[in-house]
Amino acid sequence: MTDAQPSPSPPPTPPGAAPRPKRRWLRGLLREVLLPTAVLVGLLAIAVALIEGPPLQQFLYAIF
Amino acid sequence: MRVSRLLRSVAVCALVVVTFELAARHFGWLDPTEQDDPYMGFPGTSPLYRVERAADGSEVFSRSPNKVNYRAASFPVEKPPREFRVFCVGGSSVRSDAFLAPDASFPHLLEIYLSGLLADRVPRVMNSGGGGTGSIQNLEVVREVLDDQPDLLVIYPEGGEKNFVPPLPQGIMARADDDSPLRVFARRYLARLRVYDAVRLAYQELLPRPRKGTLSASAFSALALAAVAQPFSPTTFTRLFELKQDRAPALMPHPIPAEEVEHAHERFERNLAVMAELAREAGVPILFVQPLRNTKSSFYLRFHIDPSEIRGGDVDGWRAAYEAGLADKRAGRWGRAAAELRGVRAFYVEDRDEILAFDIAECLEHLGRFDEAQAEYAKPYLEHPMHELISQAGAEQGVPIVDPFPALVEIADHGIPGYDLFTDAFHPMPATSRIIALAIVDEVRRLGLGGRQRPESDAAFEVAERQVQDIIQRSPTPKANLMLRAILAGDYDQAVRVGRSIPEDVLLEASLTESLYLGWALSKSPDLTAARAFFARLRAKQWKPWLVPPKLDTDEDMVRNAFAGDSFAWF
Repeated sequence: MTDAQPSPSPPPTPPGAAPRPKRRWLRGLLREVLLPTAVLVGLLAIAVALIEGPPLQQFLYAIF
Repeated sequence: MRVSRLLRSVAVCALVVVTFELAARHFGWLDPTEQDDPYMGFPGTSPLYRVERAADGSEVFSRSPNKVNYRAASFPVEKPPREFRVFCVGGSSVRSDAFLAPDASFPHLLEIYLSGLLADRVPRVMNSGGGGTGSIQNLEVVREVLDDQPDLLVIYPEGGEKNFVPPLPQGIMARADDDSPLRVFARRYLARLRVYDAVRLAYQELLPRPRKGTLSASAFSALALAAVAQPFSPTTFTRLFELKQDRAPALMPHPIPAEEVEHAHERFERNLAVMAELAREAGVPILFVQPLRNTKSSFYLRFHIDPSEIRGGDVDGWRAAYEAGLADKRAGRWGRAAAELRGVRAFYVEDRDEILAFDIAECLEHLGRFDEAQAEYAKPYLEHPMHELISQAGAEQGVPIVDPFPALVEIADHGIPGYDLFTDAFHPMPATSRIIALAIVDEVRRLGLGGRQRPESDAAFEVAERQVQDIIQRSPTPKANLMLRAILAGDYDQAVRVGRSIPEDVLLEASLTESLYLGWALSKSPDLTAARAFFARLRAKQWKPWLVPPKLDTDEDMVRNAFAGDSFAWF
């Protein structure tokens, strides 16, 4: 009853097919470099909009 | 775990920023000294002088390529031990671009005179005057050049302040900056980063493009635009220039709200105070110079009266007295006209009618009463609010005020500085720049600056004076000035001759002032064929269907749209 269910293993590669490439490096790049960079650019964009754009109250007034 | 990931992300961001910043600086991407200045010289602007390498390998400061409204300049980063370094900061009168070769601007003449005065120091006077700049830009220049080892700062605060009135672009920016000092502070530091610049450029690409051609900062361009937008008429060229000639000013509310004027005056005084404080902190002497004006130019004199200025609201009495005086003036009854026009002053709560003083002055000059005429001509200048604000800022901050006006009066014909001493309403001729330079030298002597000073009788002064006189002699009078003087003297043929001496493609394309003066002179001929033909060629060159001409139908329109609400009366 308490026996753990075996975790589902990936389906076996059909005989003759190329082995599936590992994408861990891509995920790592996304998570460790591109995501922080995107956040940084977003923050910079907000800073630029606040500094260069119309005053905040005017901006909010235009939106709401 | 989460903290270490956050730290890792921050480190990656820092690495990205540093890598981009280093690469941009190394490869010269987004160099702020080479792009159009998005801040128009306001805080956050790129430096006026950037470090370059001279032919001998030494480091020199050179005027940044994008600061084309300032004179080209180059001076060593490391100041030679005996150098006495002066920066003259101001606007177009300091720049003096009508007299580039030979350089007859007052900073250059000051350098020559200082070489006569200073026994042990070698003067180097930098011309840091930028066309169209006011106290906001001047303050940024002062902040910058205080790091360039100055021995003296000379501030010549002139008419650029009029550009700080909304809806002119600088006026909008000035007001936004006053409302959000934190933004100014952030911009001053962040704008130095190329990464910030990159994001700013991307942000601006996303914003809608401002409409062009709806605002005009100059009376000349407003008139030209309005003129070429309509068919030719005998007054096409004359109406702007003769608008104020023997005519009563428009009765209308002040076009620039009093609150706007007051705000701009406070800003001006605050900027002068900050300049004084920064100089004091840096231990650098600073002088304020009272900027000069052409007292015989009526072009920018105030041409409106607010109804509240008329005592008891007696508008009819005011108008009748004014018209009676002007009628006598037109008829050449100078004595009677002067007396009647002086009587108009009784109708004012406080007389700030600039064109009235000018009309009275013209009558007195015709009568040969030159002392009285001089006082009337000078009244708008001496009572100008900026004159008082500069004196006040100097007194409050303990900054010496240099006033070249009394010395200018001494050399002027009948004591009335006019178009022989100014190229137009404001800009000094070389002889006037000499007077400004001498007034500054007197103050340098009085303050004992620059180490050992030679006595006035020293031969070095004679050498300097000869050099200055040689420059004055070799400086050609600008053609616009020759044309205007000829027109004012009634010699229209001479004005046409001078105008025709300019190649017509240059005239129509790049010499707007001379074009309008030529049109004015041609319009004085009874046969308007030449004026009409010239208008057709000017229209073919200048008229673009997408331009929006300003409305200039009435006197009120002219005051509002050609003379920027009479902004010169306040700034």
